[in-house]
Amino acid sequence: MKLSREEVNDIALESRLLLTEKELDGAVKYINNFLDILDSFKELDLTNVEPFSFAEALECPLREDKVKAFTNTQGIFNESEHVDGSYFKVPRIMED
Amino acid sequence: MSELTFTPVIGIEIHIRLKTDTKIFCACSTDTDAPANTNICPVCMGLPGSLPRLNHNVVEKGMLAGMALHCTVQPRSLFFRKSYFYPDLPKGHQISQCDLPVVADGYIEVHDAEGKLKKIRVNHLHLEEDAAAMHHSASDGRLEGASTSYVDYNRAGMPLGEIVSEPDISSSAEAVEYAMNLQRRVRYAGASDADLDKGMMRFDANVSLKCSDGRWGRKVEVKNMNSFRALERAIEFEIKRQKKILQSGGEVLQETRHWNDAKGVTSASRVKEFYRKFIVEPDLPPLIVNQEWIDRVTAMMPEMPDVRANRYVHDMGLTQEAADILTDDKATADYFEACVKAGANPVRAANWVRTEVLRVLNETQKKISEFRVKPEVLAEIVRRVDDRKLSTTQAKEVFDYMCANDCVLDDVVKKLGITEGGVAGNALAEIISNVIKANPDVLAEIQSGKDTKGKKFKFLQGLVMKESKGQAKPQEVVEALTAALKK
Repeated sequence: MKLSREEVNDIALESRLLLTEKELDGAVKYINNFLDILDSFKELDLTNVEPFSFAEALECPLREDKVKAFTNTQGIFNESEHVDGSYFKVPRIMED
Repeated sequence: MSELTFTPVIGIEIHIRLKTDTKIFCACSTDTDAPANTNICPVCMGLPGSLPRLNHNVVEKGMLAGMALHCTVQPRSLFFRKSYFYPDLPKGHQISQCDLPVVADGYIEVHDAEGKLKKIRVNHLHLEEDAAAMHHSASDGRLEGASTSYVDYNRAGMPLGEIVSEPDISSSAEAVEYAMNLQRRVRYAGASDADLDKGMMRFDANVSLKCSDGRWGRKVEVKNMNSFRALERAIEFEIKRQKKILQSGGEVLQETRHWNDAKGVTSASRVKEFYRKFIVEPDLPPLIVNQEWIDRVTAMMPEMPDVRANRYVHDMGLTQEAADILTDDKATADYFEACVKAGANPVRAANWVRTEVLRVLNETQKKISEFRVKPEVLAEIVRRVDDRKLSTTQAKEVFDYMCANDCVLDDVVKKLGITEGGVAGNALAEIISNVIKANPDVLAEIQSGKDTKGKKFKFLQGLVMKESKGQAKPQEVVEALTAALKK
């Protein structure tokens, strides 16, 4: 599997990265080399092997459904400069 | 050339808010009436260093909802991060089960165009968190031209179950029946209140058309339907729109369209579709549900509405229509059954509940839990009618009075001047005697044989009925009056 220059550039933009032409060349080469390595896995017989998701055999810990209000909500408001009354403000981006 | 025909192929995704006290990954309250941004914490705000902790009850309510839709619980499921960049998503990703859901493979039955039962397969229900609510308005409250959006993170992290159907739906009517049935079933299971007005149930529909010439239109996703009516109209609009394109030889674009309820149209969404990047959520190990837990939740499942309605038809002799009306809402069905348990005849109790009880609830806009006439009392009223202690008219009078006042049955009967068992025997004889005494001229006319058409007799009969306040049985009045006139 090979990724095109455009695809790599798209991924970079999604990752909030602005690459120069030279950096993009390097990224295309780097990513495709990596994908080549993954391609070599195709030689393995993976029938009946479950996809890997966790290195450790853990179970998801569960929490009781009991309200415990967070007391320092003002602290959360203080983290943002864009507050209007009890709301957080963002530039309008939604359509009507 | 034969005319082209088109078959709609529709799949529906329904989000329901699962009924829990706290959010899915943190201990913030799920109270929808709370002031904006009061139910927030570092977890649902995605602040650095915070970790999600899965709510036990969310898993349980998801299992209940799934079981209500005939799904099977999956012993192992997983959470993913679905990444996109938007202000309603403080972490930059939504935690969702996506492809490895907690329950899968179910169905809901609907009626097709010929009235036959048809199974709409449910692919799965997966657990996920809701995004924040955004309010788009200018400072003067207008939507147009607003430059700022306001975000309320109370909704961020609310627990959702997303229920994905297979594309087995063929019409807007089937779609609405599917959605209504789903709502009824998850409510019965106690998994969700699924209140559309409160945004606890939301629809997306995938609509495409199969053309008789073999062409297959591409799938269009329609979003933003918040009522059953909107779901129906949006699908109908989309079927017409796509048909027109295919008829003129055009091609339907694969796209996301937005339903505009006020204008009654769908329009191409102007929001750029994001790359939905998925990775396994590293902060949440696999969710394991063991058999013991599955058994416990299975035991919690109440009888579903269709099974209950069948029982009413087969065991209690109700009509299908009556059974469907009574089982539409679980509280109403519970009320009816309490009535029967208290000794009321099922068919008559059913008539009372569907006509009188539902009428009063509708008029007063109250819930059955707030209803003054308890099922045991209604059962007693029904029984007294059966025992002929009360006439149907009197029973309704008593019932109406009790709906409006806090009181005891026997007091009401007294207060309304009702003689239980009606006016008969000596009481009736006394009334007749008084009526005759007060009308000597009428008596003379009847005795002289001039009342050939029986008009005068009817006149006296009417007076007796009036004096007995309608509590004498007409046949007994005729007999007693005839006997009295012969004396």
